[in-house]
Amino acid sequence: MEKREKFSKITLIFFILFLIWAILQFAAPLALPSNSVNELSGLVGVSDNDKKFENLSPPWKSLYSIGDKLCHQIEERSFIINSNQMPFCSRCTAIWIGIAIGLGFLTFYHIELDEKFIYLILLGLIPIGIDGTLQLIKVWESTNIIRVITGLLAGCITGFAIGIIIHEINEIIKKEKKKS
Amino acid sequence: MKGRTTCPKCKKEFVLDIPDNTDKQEVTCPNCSNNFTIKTTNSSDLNNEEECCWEEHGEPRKTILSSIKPKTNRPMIAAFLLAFVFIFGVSTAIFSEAFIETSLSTFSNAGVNGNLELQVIGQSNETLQNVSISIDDTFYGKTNINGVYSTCNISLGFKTLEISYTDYKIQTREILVYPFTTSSYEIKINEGIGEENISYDTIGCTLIIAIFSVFALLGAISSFNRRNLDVAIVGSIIGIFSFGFFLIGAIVSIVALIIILISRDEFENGKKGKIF
Repeated sequence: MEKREKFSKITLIFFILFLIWAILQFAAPLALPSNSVNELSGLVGVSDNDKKFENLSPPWKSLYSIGDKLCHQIEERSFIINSNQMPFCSRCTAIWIGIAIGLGFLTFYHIELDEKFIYLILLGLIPIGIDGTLQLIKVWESTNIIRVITGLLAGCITGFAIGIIIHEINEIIKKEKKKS
Repeated sequence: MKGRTTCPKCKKEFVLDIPDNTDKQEVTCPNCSNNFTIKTTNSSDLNNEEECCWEEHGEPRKTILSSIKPKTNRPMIAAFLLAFVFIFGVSTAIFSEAFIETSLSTFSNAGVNGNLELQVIGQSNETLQNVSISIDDTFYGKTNINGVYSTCNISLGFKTLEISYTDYKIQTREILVYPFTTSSYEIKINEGIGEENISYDTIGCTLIIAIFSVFALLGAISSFNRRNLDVAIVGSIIGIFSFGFFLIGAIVSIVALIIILISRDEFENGKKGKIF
């Protein structure tokens, strides 16, 4: 890991996009009137709460609909702000924040893609894997704090991975341009 | 160290063994018994004393490398396969509804059925006996004395459960019957008249699938660049768990992993030792 002489513009763009996305997660329940979005518990990948979002204004409606598709939105596993449920569960929210943090870090620092990066991958994915699997097979019920910690770890490593992918693709394009 | 020198008097060349790291050494010629000094260092004045030079035994060491193997397209193929795993994974995360239903129907068509266990309790967490259980509008049976209803060999996928009991609200809820393990649900019903509809699921969010897919893409890039064999292997292993497109993503990841392992010699920093 070393500090970049010049910050990565492409990574910065991705960082800003993910940062806005993460901020919107918190802005949505704050911007809506209290008690307007609750009891969203449902199936993963199924738009089963469409009717509850019908009366929301466009940006928040889209945000909650995406959450409905990608997340189970179980109320007990989600944070409530301003008496409104957040669009994603606590783990997913932490993952989005983690991705933004990871990309923000890689905007100014460079991590080499080498064998050492595997340790980071394992550090990021094993906790969420253990927590999620044990919960899935009902060995234990996780808490929101644990979900946030494991989600942040996984999100940060994913942010690093996205940043490295952007860098590597950029390098490949540069090489191809030089060849031609 | 062993070496050879030439006697400056009789010009006899002979081999001798002297202590390591010695700059100067007094020697006696075995032929004419002449005493002279040899210098083992590469000092500048050595050229002036050519007759007393010292030559270390043996030739300089050479590194023997195996012949370079021709590059194949295997790592590139693995890279493209892992890139597809990424696309599959992200698509599955977005279109997971179709993914879950189709994956489970694929298992059902292959003859895999699931087991279901329901525990029905009242408002005070008391177990309720003789509660009627219907699944997808078909009556299945009633709960036992422990408030448990269990059935095996039920087809996989989303099911609509209807729970009815005298003086209690009829509850309709959507459940998912999944393979290889018992799908168990605890259902609380409330006293009163009328119906209540509950949607609930315990499967993790599909965002995880997208995250696993990102690491498959990382493996694809390592494979494309023919660098970091370990990252390529780990990327393809994580790709297996992305389960994209009815398990096709997992199968493609396994194929990519095998190709990477076969072509591991073509990677820089490979385990077979390209670093010297």
